[in-house]
Amino acid sequence: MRRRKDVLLPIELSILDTARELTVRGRPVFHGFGIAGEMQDRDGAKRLVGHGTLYRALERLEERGLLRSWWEDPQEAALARRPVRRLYEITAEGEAELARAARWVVVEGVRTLGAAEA
Amino acid sequence: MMTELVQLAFGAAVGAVFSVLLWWVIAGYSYDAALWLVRSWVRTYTSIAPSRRRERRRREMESDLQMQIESERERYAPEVVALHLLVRAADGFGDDLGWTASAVWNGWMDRRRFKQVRSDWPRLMEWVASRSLLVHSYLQISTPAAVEGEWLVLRFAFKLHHDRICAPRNREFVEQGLVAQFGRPMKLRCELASHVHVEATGGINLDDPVLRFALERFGGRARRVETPPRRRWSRLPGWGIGILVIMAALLLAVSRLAG
Repeated sequence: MRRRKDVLLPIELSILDTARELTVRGRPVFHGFGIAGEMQDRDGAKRLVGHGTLYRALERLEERGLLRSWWEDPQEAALARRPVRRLYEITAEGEAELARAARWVVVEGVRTLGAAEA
Repeated sequence: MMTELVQLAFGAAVGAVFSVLLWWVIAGYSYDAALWLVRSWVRTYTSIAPSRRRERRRREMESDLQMQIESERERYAPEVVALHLLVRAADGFGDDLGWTASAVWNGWMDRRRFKQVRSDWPRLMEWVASRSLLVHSYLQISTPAAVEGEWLVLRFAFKLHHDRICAPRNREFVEQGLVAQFGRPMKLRCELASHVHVEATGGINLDDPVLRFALERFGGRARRVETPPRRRWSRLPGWGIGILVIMAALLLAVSRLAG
């Protein structure tokens, strides 16, 4: 079955939530590997998320306008003698979408609890 | 019985030595082998994707691999790092294939839309000029670089113009123009020309620092231009001065003769 475009996958929600957390901690700009590491620490996962899964999710979020991305200054990378990094940042739309998803989880949770009590 | 035991012990010893040797070889090369495998896989699945998406994914993967190696090299043995790289690549295998399929399909659709945007671009510029000359002046310095799904990528030569058009108010204004002229909503993504890939035709040397700087700064493609021949009228000032000098000399001579 084809996935609805406006529904976020768990990996996308996890990326947005981690990105928001990083923003709160004063580090709003991140790169692919950085957020994979943060997600691993936060979720207590054994492994880093796969390359394909991570970058495809990041692209999807960017296409929906929930993340913004750009290449870092090539001179900076050249000075550090490393490949240029793609940097990401959560947008206002991303934060709103995350809040909407969180509200939905709370509402569904209350409804489930209500049904269980009844 | 004794001979069989000796043979067994000898076999076990040889097996152990070979196992150690094999492990030593695997450990020594595992790192490079894993990197080679992952890079080859990335090159393979991105090879049929449109160039912008392909370049982006390859560069992003390269930086990811470098960061993972940097972060794990201190903590783990090389063969463990190699295993982590391979497992991580294998984890995303299905998504890689899905990405290729969608990149090819979307790339085809995007190219069609981009052709339409380029041909209708003057209409958008007219629409913007009729409403805001300031935004029009900033937008004039930009060129449409690509269409990526709902996004129109605009490339700017200068940061000033980039920042002005990317400011929310101006961006929304241009996006309104895109809807009005192209009949469907499009979001604007601004890009500085310094981050674009440089290219040249006609055997031009890209190592020339001035040329390279210009390409990185302004984007586009380097092309050899033949110097046009000098126009004849450009020599006129020289002739004019000569004629004036001769006339002055003649006048002087005539006036002396007359005097």
